[in-house]
Amino acid sequence: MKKATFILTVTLAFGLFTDTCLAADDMGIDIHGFISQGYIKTTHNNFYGDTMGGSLEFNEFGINFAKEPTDNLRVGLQILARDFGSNGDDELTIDWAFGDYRWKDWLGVEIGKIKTPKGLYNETRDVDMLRTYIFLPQSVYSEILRDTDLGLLGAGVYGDIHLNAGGLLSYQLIYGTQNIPANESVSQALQGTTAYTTPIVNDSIDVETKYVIGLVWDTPLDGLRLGATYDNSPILATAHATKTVAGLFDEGDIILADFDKYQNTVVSAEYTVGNLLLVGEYIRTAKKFLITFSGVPHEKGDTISDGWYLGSSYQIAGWFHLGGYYSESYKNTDDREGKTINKPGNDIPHRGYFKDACLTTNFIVNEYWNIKVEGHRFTGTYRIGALDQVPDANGKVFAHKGWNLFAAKITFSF
Amino acid sequence: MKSGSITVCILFVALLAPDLSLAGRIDIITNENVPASTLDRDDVKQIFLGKKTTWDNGAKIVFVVQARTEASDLFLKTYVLKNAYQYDIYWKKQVFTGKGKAPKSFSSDQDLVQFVSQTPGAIGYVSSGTATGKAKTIPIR
Repeated sequence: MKKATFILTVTLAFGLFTDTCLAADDMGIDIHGFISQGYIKTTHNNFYGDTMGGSLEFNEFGINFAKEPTDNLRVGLQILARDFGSNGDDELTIDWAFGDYRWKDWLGVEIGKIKTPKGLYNETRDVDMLRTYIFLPQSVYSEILRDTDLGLLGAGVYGDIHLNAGGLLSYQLIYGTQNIPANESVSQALQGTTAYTTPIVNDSIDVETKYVIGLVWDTPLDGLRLGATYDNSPILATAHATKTVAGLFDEGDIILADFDKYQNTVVSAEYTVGNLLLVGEYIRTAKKFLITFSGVPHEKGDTISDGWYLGSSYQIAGWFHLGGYYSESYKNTDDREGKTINKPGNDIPHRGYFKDACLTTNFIVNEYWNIKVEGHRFTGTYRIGALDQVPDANGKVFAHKGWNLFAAKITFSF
Repeated sequence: MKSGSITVCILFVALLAPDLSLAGRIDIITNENVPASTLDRDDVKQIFLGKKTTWDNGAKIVFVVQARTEASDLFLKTYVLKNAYQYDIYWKKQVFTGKGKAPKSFSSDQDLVQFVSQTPGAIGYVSSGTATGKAKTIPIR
């Protein structure tokens, strides 16, 4: 569904909102939603879309419906549309849709399309007003890998175990499959791993099965939460070459990227005291892959990527929140300076890391509206795709190691 | 120097601790059919975060809140250890991930008392001294 249809849908949704909610309330259906519009401007490199020229292709719209037919049963779905540069294009998608039977506090079962935990904030990454920052730290919540982190079609169990003096332990275990669009964010990651634009088109990205484990411990120390998540999924990406590149592949060659292992482990700590929130997370990604061009092995690897961040936000006043974080991520933990990236077609060391210092402000207008303004200083280009960049006369991109981003965003939610 | 450090630690811990004196200005009330005769502070916190969902007899807990009243601010600060904004965001996270339904809210003590009195399994809070009718006041351990 394209933008015009989307805008019409949003207009109708909000125009009819009052009557719809009244009618829905009579049927015991809860309706909630949000709509965000942002603006991004960057220097030197593009951050998804044409952001060097300033971009308004930065919005989200979500609306959800939920009902509890019985005391233990809950059903619902959320529809999401987003546009972020070359990703999303405001197409309507089902963000989550599931039935949830909670037998006891310590055991519930859910079936359907389920949001998956990864770190403390992955499940709410598309809902802007739930955090102080506009962009979550890219070390853990990479935009380019977003599609691998979204919901699973499958089933899960979850629960909250009361540990008395030991606090509360919440767990979640989800098993299922995943539909990853062939032309969205992960596609950019696959196409954009070199310093040159690559003439290939992705045909499919398959995840047969994936499982996700999430634990959060609300410790006896009030305000301190510790978390750990783990996910594992083999991924097979298929593409074809659109142009012959001498010494690399011929036009029409089938390119397979077979990730036999793709595992993420995240550990998290969050501490809230009064109006202050402190958070730190660390991610480790283990990948084992083989890339073939028409059946001929081209590259194989067994590597570890990692990243971390420390962040904070403070409610200076009810209407004004200040926040910031510092984040680092590395493509290969054995090569944190990107020195071994120096090879033909991939010869820019700063493609091996991404460092981000962020400062943000969040203005709470009222319970429905908030406005954010945010600045970033980036060092490195690991977390952005090649296709969004402007090549020089030789087709070479990513010439700039140090660059800046300014973003502003306004959100309405109900 | 050592005693100075201890004093600083004690002051820091005191700053982090909930203000227990505020608790006396709030009454926790339940529907008369609720089996509990007392609750501890952690029970109250887990109930209002949606982590404890049933009473000991298996009946569903229906917890309700007040919308941005002084009583609500006091209650959240004392028992849930969150401010009004943090509590609002907590429930929006549940709502927008499909994990829960935000509690019903009332704009006055009287409206909340009326709902709790008429709803089996209900629990809420009011300013101390509010006439609670058929609802019963629960001591907090």
